[in-house]
Amino acid sequence: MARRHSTRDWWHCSLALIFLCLLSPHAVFAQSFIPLELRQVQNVGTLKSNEGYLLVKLDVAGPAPSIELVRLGEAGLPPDADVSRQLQLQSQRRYKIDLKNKAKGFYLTIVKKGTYQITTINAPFFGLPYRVNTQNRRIWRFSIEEDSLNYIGNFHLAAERQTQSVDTRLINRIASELTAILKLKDQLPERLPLRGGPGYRDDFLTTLEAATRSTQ
Amino acid sequence: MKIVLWLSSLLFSSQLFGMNADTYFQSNSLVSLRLHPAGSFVAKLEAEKESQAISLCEVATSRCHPLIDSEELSTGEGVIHGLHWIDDYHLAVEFGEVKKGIKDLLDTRFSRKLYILSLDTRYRLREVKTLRTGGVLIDPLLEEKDNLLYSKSGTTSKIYRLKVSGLAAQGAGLSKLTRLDGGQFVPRNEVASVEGYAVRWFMDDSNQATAVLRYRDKNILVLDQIAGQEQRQLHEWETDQDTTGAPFIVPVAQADAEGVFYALDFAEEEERSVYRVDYTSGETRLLYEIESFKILDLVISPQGKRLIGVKVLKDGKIDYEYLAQKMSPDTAHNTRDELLEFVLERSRQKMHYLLYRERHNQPGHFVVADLTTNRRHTVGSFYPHLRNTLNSRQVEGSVNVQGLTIPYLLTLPAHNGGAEGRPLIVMPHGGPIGVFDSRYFDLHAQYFAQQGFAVLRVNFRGSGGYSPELKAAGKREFGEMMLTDIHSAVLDVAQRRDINAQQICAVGFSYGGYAATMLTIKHPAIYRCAVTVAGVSDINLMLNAAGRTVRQDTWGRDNIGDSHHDYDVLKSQSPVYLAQQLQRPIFIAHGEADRIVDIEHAYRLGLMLQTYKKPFQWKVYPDWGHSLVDEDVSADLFDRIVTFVRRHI
Repeated sequence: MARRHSTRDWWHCSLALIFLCLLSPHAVFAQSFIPLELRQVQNVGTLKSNEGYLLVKLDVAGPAPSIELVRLGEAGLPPDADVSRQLQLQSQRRYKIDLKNKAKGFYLTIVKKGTYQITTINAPFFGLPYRVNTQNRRIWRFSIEEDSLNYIGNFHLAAERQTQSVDTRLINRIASELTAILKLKDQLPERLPLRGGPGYRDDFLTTLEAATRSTQ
Repeated sequence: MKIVLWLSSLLFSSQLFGMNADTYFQSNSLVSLRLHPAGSFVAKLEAEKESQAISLCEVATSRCHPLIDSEELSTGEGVIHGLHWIDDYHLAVEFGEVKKGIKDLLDTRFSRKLYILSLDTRYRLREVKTLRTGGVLIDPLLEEKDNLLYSKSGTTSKIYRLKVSGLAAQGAGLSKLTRLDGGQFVPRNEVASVEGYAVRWFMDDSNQATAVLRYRDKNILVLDQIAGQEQRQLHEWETDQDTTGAPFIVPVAQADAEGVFYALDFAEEEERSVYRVDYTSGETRLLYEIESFKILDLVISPQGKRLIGVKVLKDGKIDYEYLAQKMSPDTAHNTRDELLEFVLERSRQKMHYLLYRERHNQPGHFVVADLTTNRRHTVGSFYPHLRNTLNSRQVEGSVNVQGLTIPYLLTLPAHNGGAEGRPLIVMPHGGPIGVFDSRYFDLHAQYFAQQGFAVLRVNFRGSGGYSPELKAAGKREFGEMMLTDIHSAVLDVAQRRDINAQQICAVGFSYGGYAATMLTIKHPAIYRCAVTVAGVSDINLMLNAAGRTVRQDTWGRDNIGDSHHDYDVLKSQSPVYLAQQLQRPIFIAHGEADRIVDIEHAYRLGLMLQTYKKPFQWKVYPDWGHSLVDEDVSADLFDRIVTFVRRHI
């Protein structure tokens, strides 16, 4: 009798644990990542309403790197905005970009217009998990406008690393890469304007375009 | 006729313009010297492209013989970090070795080793011994033959007095009859012991431990003062606290008073600032900042424990920079030929002193002063091919800009340039805040001078080395008063009869490149050309650069500007957005591997100039970073700069 009672208790405990796990914030986060797939220009697909192309140049190494990001809303944010509150409010809209086996070069994906914050760079190294927290840093923020080709930077993740640190950067190279980007833009399914999309104000591209128009 | 002209031009160029860039910038092999305890020899460490070599040189005759090459100590990649005499016949070699480790995981791939070179009575290499137990050489105990102090860190950290004669030869196998390092790591050899993992020990002149920096717990670092058996805590750091952006100033050498230390800020991206910290009162004073390169260690004078230099990592190689003494602002126009001189070491009997000396036109060199004969012997030199060949003069002056004294250094070539005077290169320093041009040897200024140019270096507001007021005045003056200071000094110097005011070109590196470009845009009547090397062209881009830390963001906001609130002001001070106004030719040079000023700055300026059809010269070096340490890049770059300046000035 005592034994049967004990088995029933065990089942109750197990069910309670399963419910607790399902309801825990961690479980919600783990299930709420929306995958974003980076593609080469010839496979990128066409835009729908409120969408723009995200363009990034990759130079990544490591066994299974990935990026986690959140959409902070449709409106552009001031570059020094405190995003921590917004991250809490919008934590259900989390995206993940898998960078495993991505060769060097330009990649695109289609995303909804808005401002995005890269929150985490995952750089696991076999049995050594490592996450770089990039939350709240404006240099890890970017913006997307609809019906545009939005260059967000050159993303670099070095192969050589320390146990507790990894060399990763998102570099604004709009001028250095301009020739290559314009060539790539011509291969898109539709003619779209190019814009620089760092998470801070950068007037370079618009100034260059204005200068080009004024000298033609 | 053509041949005569060609020959005369060759003669003219070689006599008037000195040596060519390839010869001038040839590699500097000397790394460091150690004076033999008896004072009659120096051990010399020299670096070649792929290896390092240790030789022994007789002071009186300058005759040298090789002792060993780093490749003989290790088959892998290794760097000799330091040399220390233990006694007359033993030289300790600190060696850092890159081993196989885990692929791509850097911190599993480095190990430290201590080798000891045993010399015979003719000072030839007899054998190499190895200390196999991991640890750090604390003191070579020059006064005690065959002995050294060595520390071993762990749960308990200890210093041991070891005998060199008890160590095994390099490569010798261990057997049942031989114990590791002669079984010397035993209680009877202990001279100091503390709980926790010791990171650094501090010793006094009588080889007693006076302080220790140790991990008391996994995340608690403490600095303890030691007096006999007593330990007193001076400071504590919690290393697991989120102190993003806060400095982490940790002692690395003892200073001249109890409880006072020279310290580095390990929260910097690379350690580049030296502080003097009184850990009893908490008083912290910034002593020295270096523009680039990571500081590995400090060079402290044997007498008085004064900071006289820093050991740095330049492009993967160990190097030393000896510090200019504090500059005094000069209001008069004085021709200066000041000597920078330090005592680095003294012999056991204090009859031989190893000195470091440097002048504005004489690269750093090492001299042994022999008090037994009252003679001085030069035993080594940086850039030996330039010793006694540079004959420029240096004038120190200053201008008053809105009540602030702005000092400058004017280097004049030997020839006065005749009635027209010399063409002038204005060379603002990089940084810009905390960095300064010293009155001692400057490789680049001297190159231009021996090519026939007068060279003006201005310690504009924000520069270090002079006074706290001068440095503080540079706050948020990146694109304003700093430029005014430089230009005011140029106008002052241009009045000299030996300067040709019609031939002025601005040449600069990093911030100096920015300043050169801006001055040429703003004052085309004065500056006939500009050269920007690794220069900033868009201030807002610099403030939002990839890889910036929170601390760098805060510093940038306080000292340069806020790229959000002040965006338009900073944009109006950025060459990229003023390109249309440029009326003079410009040369843009940049390294693709530059991580301080990204190459994007060069491309932005280049694209805007191209769009406005402005004349410019362009050179990108694929593997070059931000510092001029590669002699091939230096030679090519400076040759191009001089050719460009001659064409357009």
